[in-house]
Amino acid sequence: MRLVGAGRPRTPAQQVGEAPSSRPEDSDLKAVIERARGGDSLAFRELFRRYRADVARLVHRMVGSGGDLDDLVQEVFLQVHRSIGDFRGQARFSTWLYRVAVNVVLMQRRAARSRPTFSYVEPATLDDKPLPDEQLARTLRIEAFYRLLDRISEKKRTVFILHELEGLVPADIARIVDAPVLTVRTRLFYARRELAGMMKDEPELCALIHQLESKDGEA
Amino acid sequence: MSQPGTEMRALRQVVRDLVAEPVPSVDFDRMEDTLLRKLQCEPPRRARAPRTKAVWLAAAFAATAVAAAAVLGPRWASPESAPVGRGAPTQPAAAEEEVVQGDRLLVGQRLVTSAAPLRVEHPERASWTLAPHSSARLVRSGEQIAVELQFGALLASVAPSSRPESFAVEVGETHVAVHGTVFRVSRREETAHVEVLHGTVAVGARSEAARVWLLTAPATGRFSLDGRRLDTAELAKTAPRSVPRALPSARSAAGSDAVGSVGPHPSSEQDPEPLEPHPSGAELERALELLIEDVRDCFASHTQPSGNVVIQARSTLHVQVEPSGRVGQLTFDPPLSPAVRACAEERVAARRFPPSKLGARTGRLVLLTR
Repeated sequence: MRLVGAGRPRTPAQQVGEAPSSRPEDSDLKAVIERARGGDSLAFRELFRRYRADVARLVHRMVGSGGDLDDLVQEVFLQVHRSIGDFRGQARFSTWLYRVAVNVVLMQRRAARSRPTFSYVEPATLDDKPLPDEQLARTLRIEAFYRLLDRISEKKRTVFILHELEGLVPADIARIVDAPVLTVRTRLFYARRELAGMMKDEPELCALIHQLESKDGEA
Repeated sequence: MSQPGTEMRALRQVVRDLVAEPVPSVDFDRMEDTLLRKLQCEPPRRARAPRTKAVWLAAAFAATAVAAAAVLGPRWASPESAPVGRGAPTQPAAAEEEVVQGDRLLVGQRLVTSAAPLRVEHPERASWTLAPHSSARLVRSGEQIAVELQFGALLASVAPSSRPESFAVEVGETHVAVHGTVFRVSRREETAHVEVLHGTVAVGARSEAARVWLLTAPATGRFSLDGRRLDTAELAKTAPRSVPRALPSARSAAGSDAVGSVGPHPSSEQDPEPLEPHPSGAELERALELLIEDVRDCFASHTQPSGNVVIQARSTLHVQVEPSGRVGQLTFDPPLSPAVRACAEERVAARRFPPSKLGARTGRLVLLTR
């Protein structure tokens, strides 16, 4: 089962077309990739411009608002530059790029876990600008949900984000995380179940559950 | 207590919120600058593309045209070879030459020059200069750099390389692939002019493997845009000034069809014109055709038939022509049988190319069948 139905808001990438990994690679893109593989810096810049928004979105979704988005996106493209000679075109470039991005984020998270952290939690205003109640509630829910995501295993979290937030199909995710498709589906199933089961641990999400139940009762 | 279905609906709701959440703004321009600066200090691992047979075939078959020389600088805008030439400066080196780094060009990017030439540099690989009033387009980069000459002329200097076809120029369907030489290509209407001043280039139509001309400096050639060589016929019809200087008597004796039978040269007293440094491309081509016919005859007569089996040999014929016009050296690569070679040398000894000041070198890939 997929959480997102027909009414699901589309991601920026989806709003302008399909999810990056499902876009067919046209000959123009192949030529750019080939030139980048040959060391053409201009071609690499073209790839950066084409994919930077997709990478930024994926990285943001994987690290939440607490991560250093700029540094991570930059690191992704540095890794792409170092490794593009190994890209053989057996998978779509976007799939390969996502794999690089996922690995960069996971490496960063592992590194972060191994050193002491000093965090400062912003007060609930989140921003200097006053927010409408619903907007504020949504923002708090999202923050709470990121905390839940942090509690599930890395493998489940990655698969969940790639599928539910990025809209990738299990076959593509399998290539990105280097696991069988069946394993991807299994991880997805358990990720959903665990997340749903933890919802009540976060007050903002618990409030959402009660809100939905109240609506059900009224109906 | 909430129902499990409600929790899942709540989860779905939060996911929708998350998907709709905008990504924080990122200063991509600044990131791009930083990234490119970092990359300058960090050369990429280049693609380890295997050298495939296809690449070699392309190199062998696609070659079409051009070669020219290190000497090219001063000859850049000579009346004979200037692309769009009349208004072009005769010494482009004196004009303000703009320099562009080749790795900053995108494939498909077109370069057009006005009064000044434009130099494109691919460090340690090749450099090429687009003549004034010319247009070229980068067709490929990476393992092979290829430039399509749309009009005008360009001069290329290619660094010696072990890679096949490290640099190529295309004019229509005519394709010139070289590595380790300097050459110039110019396009005039529907013809491609090739001048080889140093090194050797193979010229031919992309689609026609068996017709490859090797132009060894100093040599020139004129080709149609589909890779056919035009010098002989065209020069005879439309460019009488380019007809072999030393052949008028031979032509008058044998008729225009016999122009190719380059025979003993009339003495210079009969021809007030001074000798050119090298025989023209047309002259070389005619004489070379005759040499190749000799070689084919020798192969046919000195190769033992074996039932209905067709015997074929492919070899590149290299000819060094002395200033007197006689063939100084004849080599085959790979070598032919001693009998065929001896026969060919005997026949070739009777042939004469037009005399010139410096002589010439030329060659051709030949396919021999018995």
